[in-house]
Amino acid sequence: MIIDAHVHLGPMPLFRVEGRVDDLLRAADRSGIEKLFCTEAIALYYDFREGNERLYRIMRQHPDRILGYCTISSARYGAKAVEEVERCAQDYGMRGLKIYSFSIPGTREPFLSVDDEWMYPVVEKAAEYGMVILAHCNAEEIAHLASLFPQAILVMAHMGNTAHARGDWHRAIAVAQRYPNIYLDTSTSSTDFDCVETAVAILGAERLLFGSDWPLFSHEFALARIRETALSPEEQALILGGNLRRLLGL
Amino acid sequence: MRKFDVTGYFGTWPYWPLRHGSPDELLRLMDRYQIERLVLGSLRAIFSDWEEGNEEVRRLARRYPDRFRVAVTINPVLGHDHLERAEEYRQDELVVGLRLYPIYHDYELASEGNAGLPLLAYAAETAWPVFIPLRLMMNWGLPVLPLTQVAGMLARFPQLTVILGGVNYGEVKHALPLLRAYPRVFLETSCVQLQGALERIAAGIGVERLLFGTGMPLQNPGCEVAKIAHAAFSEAERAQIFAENARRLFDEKR
Repeated sequence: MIIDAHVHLGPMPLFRVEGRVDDLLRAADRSGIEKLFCTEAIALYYDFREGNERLYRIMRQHPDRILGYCTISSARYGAKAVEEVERCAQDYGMRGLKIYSFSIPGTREPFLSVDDEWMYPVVEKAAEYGMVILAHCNAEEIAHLASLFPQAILVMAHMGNTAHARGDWHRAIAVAQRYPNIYLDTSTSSTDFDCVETAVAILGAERLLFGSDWPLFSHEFALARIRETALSPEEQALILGGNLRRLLGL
Repeated sequence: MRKFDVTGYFGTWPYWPLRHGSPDELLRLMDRYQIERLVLGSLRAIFSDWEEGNEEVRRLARRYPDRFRVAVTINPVLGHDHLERAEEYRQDELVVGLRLYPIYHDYELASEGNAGLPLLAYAAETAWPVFIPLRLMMNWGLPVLPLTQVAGMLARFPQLTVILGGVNYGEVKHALPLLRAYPRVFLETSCVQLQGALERIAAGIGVERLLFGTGMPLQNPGCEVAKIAHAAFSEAERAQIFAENARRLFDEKR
């Protein structure tokens, strides 16, 4: 079973795209992807409560296909953000939390960081519920979170292949080696040769999760990052879904 | 489907070890993905000695003349006799064009009095294709040449044949007006990763101006093939992008 650990639904005006669930399911069917772990773009870019509720409605329409991340765009909402994680876990059955470091436009300096102090209770609450925490961040930020919350399941989105993380997947692998509760998600626009193989050689295939970042990138393009490698079928199967099944108890 | 890859590299990558950079590995990858021709540029020429780097790549192409072509790199800031060397390179039937790296060689393409002007004038006069990669590969840690420099260069030399490479989704909307304005500008695909972006570019300028590139061995050619193989193109359009456009541009026999 292939599970895509990094999918967006909703309007993403920054990228001139919108992820519609019908398009997503058609695309996933073409590529043999069974389950899709989704965030909602309204929750990410505008209003987390509204976006998470919208995602919950989609989850109810497609309970066998869509898994949900509760998205907290800014932990500066304090108790409301923590309550939202609780609500999403208890009432909506969301199995993940998505958090995001936003850079100041035109720079790589964090404006909102997943490692802000006010994010800590949010992460702590998600860890209480055993949620998979998908963090768009750099290696330094995820390393600090991992040290503070060793009980949390932390997934470094894009494994360093972002502007915010300076494209530094070597550093991402290094911090994951240091902290066993860090996992790496393979979604990215980068196709650096050996990025995934190097991670598997150092960390083991158990620590990587397949992601596409759909609708930004096609599933076929994202799958090629796993399949067009020298990894064994067993290693590929872990990355493509086995690991997430284990983490979520599916 | 046979392919003509217009972007490959040979040499040492200074930032991390490459496992697929040897000639044998390049040939193995080319066979695996049915790439019959690969245009190589020299990494040594970018980061160190351009003349020595070009010689290395030319020697390799002479060993495998059926598989490799060369886009020579000239650093107009260092060394001597740039135009004489350009003429020598252009006479080499395995050399298909000139690659310029203003960021790495510390000059600007568009500024008055820039060191590259004589080379660009030479390329324009002789219809010698010029490869301008905005970035070496789609890694977010590497610098990006501003498209405004390319626009300035084209305003001065509108007749230049340019292979614009390293364009990522953020630059597509700015690249399209340039591509529309200058029909001798081609777009190389190795960094255009956004879903639907190649289709949008083709709709804007015509599929015949897209050239397949992988950026191997820095980038995984399997991903670069997959994105085009599964894009919303007809088989005839795919064949144009994968090989026919490059063959026509570089005047290759099938």
